[in-house]
Amino acid sequence: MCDLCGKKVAVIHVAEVQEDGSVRSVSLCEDCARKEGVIPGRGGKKGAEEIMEEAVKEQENLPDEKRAVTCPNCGLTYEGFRTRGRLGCPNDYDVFAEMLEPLLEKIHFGTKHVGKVPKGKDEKAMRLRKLVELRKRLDEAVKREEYELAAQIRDQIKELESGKEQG
Amino acid sequence: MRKAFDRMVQNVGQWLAQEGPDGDVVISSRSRYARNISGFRFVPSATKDELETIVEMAETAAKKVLPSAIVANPSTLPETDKNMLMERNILTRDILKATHPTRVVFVDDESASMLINEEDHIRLQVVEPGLQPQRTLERLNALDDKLEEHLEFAFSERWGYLTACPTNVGTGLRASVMLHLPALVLTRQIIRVVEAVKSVGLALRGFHGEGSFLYQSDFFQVSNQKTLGRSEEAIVENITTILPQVIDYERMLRDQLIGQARRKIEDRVWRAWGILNSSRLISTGEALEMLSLVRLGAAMGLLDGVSIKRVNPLFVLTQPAHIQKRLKGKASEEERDATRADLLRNWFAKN
Repeated sequence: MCDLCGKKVAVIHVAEVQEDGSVRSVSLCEDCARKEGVIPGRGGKKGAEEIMEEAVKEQENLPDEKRAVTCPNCGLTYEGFRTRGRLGCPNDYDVFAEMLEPLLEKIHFGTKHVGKVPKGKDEKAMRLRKLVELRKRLDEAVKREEYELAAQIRDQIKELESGKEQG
Repeated sequence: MRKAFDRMVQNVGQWLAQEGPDGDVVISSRSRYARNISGFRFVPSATKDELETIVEMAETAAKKVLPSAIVANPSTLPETDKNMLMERNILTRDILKATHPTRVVFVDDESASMLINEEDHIRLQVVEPGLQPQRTLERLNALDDKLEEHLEFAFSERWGYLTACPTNVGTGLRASVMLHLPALVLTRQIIRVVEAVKSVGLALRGFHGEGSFLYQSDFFQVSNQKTLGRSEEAIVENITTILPQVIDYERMLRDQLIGQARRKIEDRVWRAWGILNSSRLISTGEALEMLSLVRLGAAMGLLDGVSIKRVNPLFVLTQPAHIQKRLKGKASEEERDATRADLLRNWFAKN
């Protein structure tokens, strides 16, 4: 039972080391723990799903013609996506690009893919983006004085740059 | 296949059976890719026929890439087996709820697994013991490369790998690490860690991942939330630069507890040891709480001759479905608690 309200099941057991070295322990239910600030309330940083849901809600004033945009491939409308939070097919990303872009910007680091490319895809543009990212990471690693990591990143940059000459 | 499920009541995956790097604090590292086969609609929009074709294609590719893997149809598995796979982090709640064609593929040591037609056509997962997110990413990439020899994935130069939910688009990568943080919980400092971890864009979840209550136990799962706009390596790097600070904090607090309240900590650990070795009825929750304390004691060298490796498997083996499997047929709660208590006593007497 919770030591504070005595009503609900205690789920959090807190122990504090006192100055004299003794340990004082308290058991709290979730609600009391939140009230006492032992665990953060709902106001803290949000998860990706929540961020997306909020961003979708914020598009309340979206004009009807944009809500009605329909993917010729799978038949999903943008309003349909807004309701269920899931897309219908790969083509949706391009069909809904204008509306999706602001959502992706809120959810992610950016709105352009940096990273792995399936073999056989055109890799040139990807490589350029990757170079920009590597240089940024190199800067950060040097700032953090992680020299071993910095050396590894430098090698990767060299490798990518030499690939550019060939292709 | 039936034998593989029978063995599960005694054995756990190598991610839990072995002690990996930083094993005093870190349980395991996990990475997964979300992928979709190009030319098909995503799972939420696809017809049953489409989903059946996807199952066929993905299953064929999976058997080539993971030749020794077990392939099972979740909808035809007995309830207990399904729940065991969930307790072992191979199946998810979402795929169990599905009424459309799905498959689960996993290798015997559980180091790699694949879900077909969960939220995406393919969810490919790799697990390692201890703190080695980089290694999980390397292995995941190797498997993904091989899959790409047999399947063409939906990909665009602008958006990367395309997924049903925009929160996974780009790399499709979720890298996570499971931590055991009893000292941080005991001293309340966990709140600061939760805030710090969240402030760098990482997510924190409880023992059973998504949806589970964060402070239910001393176990926490840290993972990336953002998947688009940074490379796979940079995403993993973000985790590997933050986590050592959390790990060191936990270790420092363990030392402090020993320095300032040795008797109290020893008392808690030994009482937990006493309960695990003498109870005749024990619930899942109490077992988890006591095992956490015993694991802490083992990590701090407070329990003579008890190693982390010896304790670890019990975190899965004492879960409800694993106990149910031992009982065969319907059992009352009391029977399950009795079986769990017997398992614990025998385990420590034998191992």
